[in-house]
Amino acid sequence: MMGDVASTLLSVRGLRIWAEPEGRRRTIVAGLDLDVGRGEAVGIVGESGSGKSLTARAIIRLLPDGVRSEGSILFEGTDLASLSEAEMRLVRGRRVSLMFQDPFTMLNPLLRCGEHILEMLPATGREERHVARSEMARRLREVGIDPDAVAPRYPFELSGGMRQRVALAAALARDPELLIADEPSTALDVTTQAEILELLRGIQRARRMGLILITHDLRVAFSICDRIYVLYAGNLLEVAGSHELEAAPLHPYTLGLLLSEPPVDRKLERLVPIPGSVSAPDDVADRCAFAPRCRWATDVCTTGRPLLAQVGPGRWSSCIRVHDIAGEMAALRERSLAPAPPSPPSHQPLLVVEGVSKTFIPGRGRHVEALRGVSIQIDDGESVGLVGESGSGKTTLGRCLVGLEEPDAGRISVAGIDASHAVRLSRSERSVLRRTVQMIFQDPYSTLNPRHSVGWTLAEALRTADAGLRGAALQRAVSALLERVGLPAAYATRRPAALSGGERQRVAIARALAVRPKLLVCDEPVSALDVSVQAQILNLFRRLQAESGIAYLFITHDLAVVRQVVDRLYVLYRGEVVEEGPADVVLDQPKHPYTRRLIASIPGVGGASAAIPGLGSEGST
Amino acid sequence: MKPEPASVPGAGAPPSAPSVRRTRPPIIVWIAFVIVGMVIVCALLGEWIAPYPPNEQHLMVGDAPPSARFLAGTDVLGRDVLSRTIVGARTALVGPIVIAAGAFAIATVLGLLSGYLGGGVDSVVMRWVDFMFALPGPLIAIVVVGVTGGGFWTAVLVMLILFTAPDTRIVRSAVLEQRPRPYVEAARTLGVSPLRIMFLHILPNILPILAAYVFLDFAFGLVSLAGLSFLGLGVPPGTPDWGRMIFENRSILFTNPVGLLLPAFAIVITAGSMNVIGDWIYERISAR
Repeated sequence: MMGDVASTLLSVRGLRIWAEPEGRRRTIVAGLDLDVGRGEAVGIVGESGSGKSLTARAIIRLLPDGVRSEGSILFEGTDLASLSEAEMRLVRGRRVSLMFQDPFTMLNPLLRCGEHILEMLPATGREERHVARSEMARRLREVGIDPDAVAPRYPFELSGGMRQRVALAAALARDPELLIADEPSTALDVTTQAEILELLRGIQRARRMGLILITHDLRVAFSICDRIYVLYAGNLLEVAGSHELEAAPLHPYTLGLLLSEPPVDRKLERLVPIPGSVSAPDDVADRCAFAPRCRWATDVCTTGRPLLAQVGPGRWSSCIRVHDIAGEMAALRERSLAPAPPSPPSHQPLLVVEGVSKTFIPGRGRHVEALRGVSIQIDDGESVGLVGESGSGKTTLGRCLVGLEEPDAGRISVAGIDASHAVRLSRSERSVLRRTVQMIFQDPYSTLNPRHSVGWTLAEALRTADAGLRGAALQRAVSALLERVGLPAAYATRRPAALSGGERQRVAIARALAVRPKLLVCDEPVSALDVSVQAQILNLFRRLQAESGIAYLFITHDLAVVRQVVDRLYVLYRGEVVEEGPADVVLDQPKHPYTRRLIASIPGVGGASAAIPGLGSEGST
Repeated sequence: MKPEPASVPGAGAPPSAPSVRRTRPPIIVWIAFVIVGMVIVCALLGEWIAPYPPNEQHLMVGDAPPSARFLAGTDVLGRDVLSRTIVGARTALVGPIVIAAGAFAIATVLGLLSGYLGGGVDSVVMRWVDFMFALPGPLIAIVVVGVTGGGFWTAVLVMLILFTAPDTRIVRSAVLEQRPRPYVEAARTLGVSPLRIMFLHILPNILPILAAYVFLDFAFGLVSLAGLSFLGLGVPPGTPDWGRMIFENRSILFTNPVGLLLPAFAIVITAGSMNVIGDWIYERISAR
């Protein structure tokens, strides 16, 4: 059906994937058609639960136990679905290669990097060993690696970006015609991420290789793909060329994804989130999969499952109302770009950090200097960002502020109390401290005690602040907290396992709010959430600030997120603050070369992410 | 002790996990549950189930091989082996239950304090554990029980103390795994008291692991106590006890081998079943 590709390399028709735990069939992908042309880069974009990763595995027939698929997978005229396992082995690696998200688990920890490549190269005789070695060196150079330095090393000796390069070289060693890359850059730091994506794009073009890139990030897909398939709850909702999709999405879900990804170049008045969370494919089998969360859904959307229909040259959308609402969608996008008014400056310093240093000694004489004389200040009601990559010390600083770590040197003063050494504080000082600063953690899955109900957790937090609270008053306080973070009061009886990631993070925020803090330290609060849920949580943070004038310290690596919520910004690099100032000034006119590189590495912004000498992010992490 | 396949503690995988395994327990686990159930019934109702009073002597019969009247034959004093085996389930259960439960109660407190508080408390507890590990356990038990002439409960107490050391290590390592989790750190940030964090936050999360080890402790306790009884330590002479029966019936190995084999078999399948159940619980937890 998408026959405008000159020479089709892969053509998937009617792919269905399902799992059968205990005989109950659970749909994962409900019928998917996909074409990849020779030399074409195709993106499959979807949130968690959309079925994108299992689609990739179904193509190469590496589905996990208990998951089955049907449909035809024509690769150069051969139906991969009909091949025997032995024949399939001749296809994998040689003609179709797969690359995974986690560069560490993908490489055998006991094999040196060079051996990974040697193993994948076509078999050569004993006398040709030097031929193989020079071939291996050539392959490593192709992915930008110095073979003499890296080939004799083990994977654990390399940084994440280097490992992903080795993994790419191994995946390419047999010169496949099609490479499937499953979130190849997600586990990496922003600056490294940009390098890997650029490398992938360059190699794909140079080799005229087919590429299927699987990602949750539309901006990543825009930056390297020719065409994009938008997958949601096991259904294809939209197919279009990258540029067309970016300019004018023709499905409310794609628009929603675009709008909930905060732009990096401006602070918006309000992000437009997608309400709710991703449905299970079987719950929406008889209707438009996105109807439960769609602002334009009408009765017609729930009467049957709409099929992908051509709406323009090279464009398909499964929205039946696409022609009715195209104007409204464009208008919403226009409106959503309204910039936020600048927030009034505050005066009262709430937290002052002066020259704080912290060194970890993990043993065997090694020293890790996490913080080297960091000074920051946060005023009452102000929202401050702390930006840096992993290893920059940003999390350590956050943990020092709430007393989970103690600085070796320097002073932390919170609301006039010297909080540098929690053990030396009096009981009353400590309780003032706790009521002033609270923390939100990154991982929504372990931030709540899995053994206790939401209500129990919140009640405990409330009672640490006010031990006299009990009975009906306590219940009312719990309900009020839940409502403040946008959850129904009935959630109090639920266990964390019954909540989605976004809901858990809301409960975690409610728990922190229970002691009425003046400052929330948020350590990557949305980075583990789906894109559509991220915007909901960011809006919640902004609403809470407007309601109660709470101050924030946002610790993150994501500059677009930080722009949406903060007034001022500190850039942390290897334990030192290298740049600070109002967020728009730092982001629009960065002075320090590291800040510039951070900004340039955002997909779709910098383009040329020139590596700056002496600032390699490839150091040991 | 009833099989509850659907409600194993700790089987709460996040809803987004792609392959939630909720498989039924394998057949061997069912068999283990049935065997343990039978042993419990024997322990509770031994005298009513057994065909003869365990200490009744059928002097005219002597040590006879199995017959229609005595299904497992009789021992050298003319007592019914089957009846003694059935009633012997009581000491076989009570001792190991006290050992496993007691050792874990102590180990849980020590492990939580040591793992959560760290520092000096940790050093003291762990040095004590190291010291206990350096002792030759079975030998100590034999010496203590033998010298004091102590009997069954002394043997149980000695075993209980010996088991506390390895169990403390298990609890401590489970606590260390939970301690850096955000939910613990969030409670610390809120100012929740250390005792509350230990017993209301961490303990419920490590309980399934401990439950698995309690079963393994039971099995090991059963075998150890039976070993002491076999050496003539522990239960007083005349008590129907599996270990002691093996000891007493060595002499009739060739006239009535069942007198020795039946209690030995009982020990093996009871301990084995407990191991199977413990392993199964452990696997269920690790599969999360």
